[in-house]
Amino acid sequence: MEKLKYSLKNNFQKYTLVIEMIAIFVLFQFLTNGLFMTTRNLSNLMMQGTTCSLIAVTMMLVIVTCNADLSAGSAIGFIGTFAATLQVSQWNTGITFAAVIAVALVLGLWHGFWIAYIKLPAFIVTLATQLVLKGLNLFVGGGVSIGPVSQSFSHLGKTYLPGLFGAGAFNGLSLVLTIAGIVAYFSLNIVQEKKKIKLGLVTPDWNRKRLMMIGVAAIAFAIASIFIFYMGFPLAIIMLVVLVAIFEFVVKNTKFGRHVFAVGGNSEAARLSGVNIEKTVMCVYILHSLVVGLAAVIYLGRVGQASPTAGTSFEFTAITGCVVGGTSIMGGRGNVIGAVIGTMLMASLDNGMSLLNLGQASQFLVKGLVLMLAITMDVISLKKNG
Amino acid sequence: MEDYILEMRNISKDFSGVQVLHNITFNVKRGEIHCLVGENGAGKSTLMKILSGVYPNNEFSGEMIVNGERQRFFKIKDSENAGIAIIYQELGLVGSMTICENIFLGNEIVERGKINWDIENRKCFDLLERLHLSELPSAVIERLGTGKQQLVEIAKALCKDINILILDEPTSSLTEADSKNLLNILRQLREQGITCIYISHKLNEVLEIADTITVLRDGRAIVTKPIAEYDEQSLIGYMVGRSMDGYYPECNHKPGDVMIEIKDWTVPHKKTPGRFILDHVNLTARKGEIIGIAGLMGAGRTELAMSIFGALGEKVSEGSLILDGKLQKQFKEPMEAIESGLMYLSEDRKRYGLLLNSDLVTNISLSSLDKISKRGVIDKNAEIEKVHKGIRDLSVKTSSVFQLAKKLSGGNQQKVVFVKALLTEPKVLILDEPTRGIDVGSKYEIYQLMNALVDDGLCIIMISSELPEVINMSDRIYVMCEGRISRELDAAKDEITQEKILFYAAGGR
Repeated sequence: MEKLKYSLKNNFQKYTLVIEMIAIFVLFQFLTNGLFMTTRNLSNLMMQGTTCSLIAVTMMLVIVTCNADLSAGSAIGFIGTFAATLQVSQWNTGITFAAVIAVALVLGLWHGFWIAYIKLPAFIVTLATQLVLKGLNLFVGGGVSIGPVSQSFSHLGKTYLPGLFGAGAFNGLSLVLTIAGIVAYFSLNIVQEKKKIKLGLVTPDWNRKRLMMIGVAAIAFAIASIFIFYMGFPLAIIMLVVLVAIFEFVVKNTKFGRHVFAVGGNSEAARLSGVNIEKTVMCVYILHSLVVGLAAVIYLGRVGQASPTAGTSFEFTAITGCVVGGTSIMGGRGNVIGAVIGTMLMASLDNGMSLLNLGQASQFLVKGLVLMLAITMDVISLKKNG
Repeated sequence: MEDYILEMRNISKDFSGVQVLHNITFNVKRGEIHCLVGENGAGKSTLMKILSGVYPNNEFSGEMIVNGERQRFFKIKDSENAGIAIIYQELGLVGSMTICENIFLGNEIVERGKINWDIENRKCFDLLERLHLSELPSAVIERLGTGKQQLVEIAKALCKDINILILDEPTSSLTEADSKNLLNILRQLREQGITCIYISHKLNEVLEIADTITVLRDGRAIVTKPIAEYDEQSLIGYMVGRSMDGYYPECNHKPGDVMIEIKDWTVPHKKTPGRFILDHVNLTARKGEIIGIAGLMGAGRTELAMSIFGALGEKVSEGSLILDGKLQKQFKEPMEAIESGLMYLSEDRKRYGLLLNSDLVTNISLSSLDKISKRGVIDKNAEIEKVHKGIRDLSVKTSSVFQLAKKLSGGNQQKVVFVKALLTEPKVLILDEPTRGIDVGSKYEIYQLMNALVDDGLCIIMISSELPEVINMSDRIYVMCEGRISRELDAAKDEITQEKILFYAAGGR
């Protein structure tokens, strides 16, 4: 019992995330008369949430280093217009992708230069870029919608995995992939745990480990089944899962990941420990911009055409998602999966309120208040542990 | 019947089940200087936080009687109203505001919504006079030295019309001269009827100033006696619960080849041309040797260490650095210095040494991730093994390697920083105030560790403001004054005395 209390106290944020999720889902399910939790709606919801979730993955790193990026949304808008312009001018898709990567790189270098090396506050720099990118968007696109993009371009945003056994009640390939993923998860975990036990780093507790692994697998399967029993995995979701896996690894197992958290936790101590702060922050912004570029491509592919207002307030959703998911605005704390779940939660709010035909007014109100609440919880939990 | 201004009776307190204070009874006579000593974690700060209302009345058991009246404090304001003020180790002043503004901060003299500056300034002037602080009320805090800032803190407390003043490690960041001055002021305040509770690790200070000493150990009040009944040995005996044969372990260093040599090391002042932060500093240190760097606050000791380590942020205009026989380029980043075998431990481990919210593994491996990773990917098992070994070797007291750094006591935090530094396998280790703010027992362990490292051929450069420490630990001492080395003193030639160090530190030639 004591142990449970301790674990509850220490994982406060994780549990609140789950509780919030259940509360929101039950509430919307009830209010929409069961429209909310259908495979169709949940699948769509997650597709809509993917763009912001992608940004949230690296936005988390940016926030961990005690910085911010307020320009992500308008960057998506501008890159979208830019790519769509190339597409309608009959540029081939490969070259368009290359051009998008180049633009993203320049954006990352630009932010990194001012924030990491000249040491201007990230808040102001990215606020300025936000406006600059909006201007560029109107300049390039002339303030009108541009499209449609080519078939090959929209793959990333639109395509679902093909079924193995033809069109049936479920998508075979997705099912196979899911099972393969779960098997991989099990074997990787068991191998690691055995290694740890062999080295005497943990006391063996296979019952607990087994319970945890089964729990994780069950949740993963439940989420995957939404797609399996609808139209299969969209490519975009697979991209998101891969990106999450990569960054989860980077955060937990690489030198770079450690450096990012050290810079956010105590930049002076990090510097004296031999961490190159400028380089670390620069790398974070470059990675972040590349991911924003990817998100822009996926978003444009899904929507099919670029509009001058595309991407508006996406950065808000991503930042709120990060904070809801346990990233501390004071820096030094955060996790990839939490950030994505938090952002998906924000997408659920969007989706649920749309289903209820609530207008923009109430959506803005609710989302603003959610951010306030999330930050309050962040600060309170810091105080409790501080 | 004694006249007690303060009686704390049967005070017990626990933090989520862990008992930190056991039935403490602590009585202070009117108008005395009562020193409270004990190792880190003995419960001094907790007791004082109870007295000053930081921990509200319902979070501990026992009763407090101030000036004959039973008091229940729920917030700091309550204790201030009862005439108690506390001054912490870390100063609580607003750097960009003036002395006068700081003294009356939160206590402004207001008439019809407007601050009456005339009265404030006059009162402030009187207070500064009383503390012999020759500064104008309009002087800005950040322009003052630490010693003067400390006096402003006291002025701020006095302005609230208090009769019990609590000082928590007030001299830990003061120079010898500033400390002396502070102690004199406290004596004067005693003449003026102010009772003072004084917490300090510096036993010589305590023995100099106290009327009564109470020793706490492991959350219990061990003994309260008038000063005449103590001497240094017995005091240490009460604190550690056993007698110690002196502070400093026996050692017999055998210096070898020259490990690091600095020639004409010069750093000009950025803002005022013609002035120097460091002025043609020459220094050599050998394998298997501890070099002490002594000097007053502001003599440029930390700046010297930081500039060698590539962390000062000001350009070195001339000078050369020879490390292990090789001429080195001046380091631009600490990273380069660490790779070349030089490591620096900051004087302020909380601000510049630790990631307080991270666990010990993350903290300790941070400087040596290269050694345990392949192509940027960390071998986590190797990492934990190394950390395990490190904290076992230095007997860091912690429940696990995944404990957060902030949960450890000062002495153990210092050991953690040591483990971290040693994992980088340095050839030269620069220690900046390695025992600041840690208890006697941990200090002894740190000294033993330093000796063991030196015996293994490490070269240690130690900056310290505690004269007995530099004198007893160093083979040679460089005394610094105003950015220059004013004198080198050699233990082998019996040149080292407290008087000589103070003489050269004050600019004597």
